Amino acid sequence: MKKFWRITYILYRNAVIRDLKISISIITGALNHLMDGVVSIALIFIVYTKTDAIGGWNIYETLILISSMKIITTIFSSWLKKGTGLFAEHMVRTGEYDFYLTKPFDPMIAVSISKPRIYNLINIPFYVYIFIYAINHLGRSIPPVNIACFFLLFICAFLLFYALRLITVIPAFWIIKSYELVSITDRLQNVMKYPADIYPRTMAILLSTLLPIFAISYLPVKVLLFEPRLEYIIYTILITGLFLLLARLFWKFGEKHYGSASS
Amino acid sequence: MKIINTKKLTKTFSKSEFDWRRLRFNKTDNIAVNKIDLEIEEGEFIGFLGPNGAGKTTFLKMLSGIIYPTSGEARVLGYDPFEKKYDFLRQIGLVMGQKNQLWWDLSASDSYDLLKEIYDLDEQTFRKNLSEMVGVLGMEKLLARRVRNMSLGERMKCEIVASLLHQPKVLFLDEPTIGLDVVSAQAIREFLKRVNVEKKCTIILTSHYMADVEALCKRVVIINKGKKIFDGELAQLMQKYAPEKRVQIILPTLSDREKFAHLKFDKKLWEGKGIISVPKNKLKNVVEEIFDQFPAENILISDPETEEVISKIFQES
Amino acid sequence: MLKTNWAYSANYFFSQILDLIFFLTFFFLWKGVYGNSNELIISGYTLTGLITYYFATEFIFRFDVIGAIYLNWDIWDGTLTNWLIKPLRITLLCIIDPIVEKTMSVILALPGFIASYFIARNYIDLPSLPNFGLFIITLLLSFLLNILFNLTFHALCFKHGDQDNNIELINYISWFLAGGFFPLSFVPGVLGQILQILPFKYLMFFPANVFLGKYDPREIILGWIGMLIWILIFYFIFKRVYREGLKHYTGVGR
Repeated sequence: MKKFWRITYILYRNAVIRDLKISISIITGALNHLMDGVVSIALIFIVYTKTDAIGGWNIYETLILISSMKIITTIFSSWLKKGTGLFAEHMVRTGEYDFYLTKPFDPMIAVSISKPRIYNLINIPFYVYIFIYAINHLGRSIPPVNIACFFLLFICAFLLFYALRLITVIPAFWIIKSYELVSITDRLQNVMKYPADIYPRTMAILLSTLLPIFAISYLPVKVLLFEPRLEYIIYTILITGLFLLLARLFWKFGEKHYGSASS
Repeated sequence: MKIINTKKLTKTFSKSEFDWRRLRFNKTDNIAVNKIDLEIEEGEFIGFLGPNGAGKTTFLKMLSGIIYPTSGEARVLGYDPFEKKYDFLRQIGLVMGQKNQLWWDLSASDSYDLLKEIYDLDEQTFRKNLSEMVGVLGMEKLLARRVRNMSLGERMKCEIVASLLHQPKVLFLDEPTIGLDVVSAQAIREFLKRVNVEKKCTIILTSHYMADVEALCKRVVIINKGKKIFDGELAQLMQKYAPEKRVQIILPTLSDREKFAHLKFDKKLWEGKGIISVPKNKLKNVVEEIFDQFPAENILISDPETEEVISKIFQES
Repeated sequence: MLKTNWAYSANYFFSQILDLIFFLTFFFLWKGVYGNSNELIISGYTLTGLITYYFATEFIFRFDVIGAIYLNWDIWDGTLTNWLIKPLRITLLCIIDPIVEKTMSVILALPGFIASYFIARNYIDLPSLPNFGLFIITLLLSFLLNILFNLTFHALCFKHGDQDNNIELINYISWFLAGGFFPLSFVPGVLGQILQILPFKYLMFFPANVFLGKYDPREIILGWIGMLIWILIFYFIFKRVYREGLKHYTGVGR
């Protein structure tokens, strides 16, 4: 574990050194990520000028949903997104992955943490502000047990998002060009931003089970704002464990079929 | 002690394509490595030769655990490479001439810091290894330069240093001198020789350049179409496939050329020179006749070019 | 190019599904807001009008040039060298290349687009044939404007290094200001009026409303004139930035 954090530190340090060489890149990179959140929040404000509730959620509840989802995806984006993306787009195709296989460090982890984008963390305060602003304007207090359950599910949500990302990039072992696969988790964020209640029941069930994105955004916030039902908590923990295991097994299976790239 | 041991090691790449006319999948198999048996002792420096697509790099990748073999067995340092145990990975190094593991936008030293953590090297060992190699290769000024701003030769030096920081027992080199100028290639060869002798590092080298193999390897393994067709000392290779000497005669005048034409040997003309290939047991008689007819300063007796011999082997196989 | 896209058929299949998800999200969101009623009119749009707007912008989005222009990466990794030594007009090639690339990807996106129509057909009003013709002309002008707008930023790589992040940011902002996420008329007050004046509306909002038949011929012609003026402006800016930038080109990486 110590080795993992030491390596993460060096990778972050190297990322900062690299990014400082084109410092404008940091600002615009951070702004890029911020833009998506700003646009989403702007859209929510526009939508709520036309209605009081969507799927039974008021504006503040929806803002909490979006901001908590953006905090998860921003941390993910600063740490694990680029590495996993490059794995699918570049490393397997060019054979760069060979070097990860010959080092005494888990290649799946190594690939995931290989390309941090530290500047994305600059956006976290903005989303935390929106989160707290919305909580303050809710007009009701939140019991401590809800908060505790929310933090537990928040961690599960991050791990589940990572597992989903891995599952979408692992086909790169077989599929030569998989740019769209890489963008699945990004595109699905568009669905995660809104309460599951606006979608048809079939779609909501599918997106809570087969592709459990609602376990990442919707369930943790539902537990925070409404009743922290035990079945939601157990379900989220179980599905997180299941998808992490699936991702790991799938990765190992992919490695067995890895053919490297011609010189 | 046998540091590398393979038994019938095989790798087949299968490809499935959907045939829209017949509405079924067609599977094609390409046997890249075909039942290769090989034993390598500690401290050896082995050259792998073969034409493009022979299977050399695939074989190397199986030994380093990158690719999973289809069948057969491989043991490197007593480990199954594909299990990728950390104790095994800490003892091997890999350099690929056409790929780089260093961070493109950073200096080499930033990449070395990362490798230090990956290989759990203590600061003292790391600094000692690094300064030693940097000194030998004359790379002091390169350490702080961004990799993307280096020439190919400089980059390869940095790559080789990266692969040796942790003092591996086995080093796999896949075409390390490809694209390098003569001076850079020479510097790298001398360095590798030194590593092999001083650190007793077993080195497996694949290369298209005979200069690499002649300078570094006593033993060569020739692979063609996935099969091992020769495994032995380079001198043995020359003895087996080129048991003749080559006599070159410079023919500046017409009368020299007429005299050459009348010689009753297996001969040819090439770029104004007469060339006669002579079995070694008949060399004395041939040489006597030639020295009688032509000036000594126009005569050169040598062994055939290694490259010619290797090409001959590929064609025959 | 067709062969290349079919060779990567898994990638193609997923791209269709993902594009559909984006459309469906907005479809369900606004259905919820309108309460599934077509009586309600918000800022000039009924539910059908709004869904049709998103349907049109989904199609227009297929012409997004991000990923179809490679100038920034070619400069940054030195690949441009391969083109500079050939007898070609690079600036013209930079404009033609994304047109070719996008033509094929638009054709390949049609199945997904047709699937969107079938799912939401009760809420989509297709335009008449003449209106569709006007829409296509507007769309092509918008596409050309977008290419030249982006090329200007790509060419900045010569002097200022990798522009990948900047280009992504600028495109995101421009799609937002263009009405890619909601019609510009939804933005209230002064801000809404400003957005209607800026040239970004020509990228999405204007062509989408031509599709919806919201403009009379006079307004369409005026719109086209505005687009042509901006096309010329960005053409000359790009050429200038490219010419000046080329003097700083080092070809590092090759």
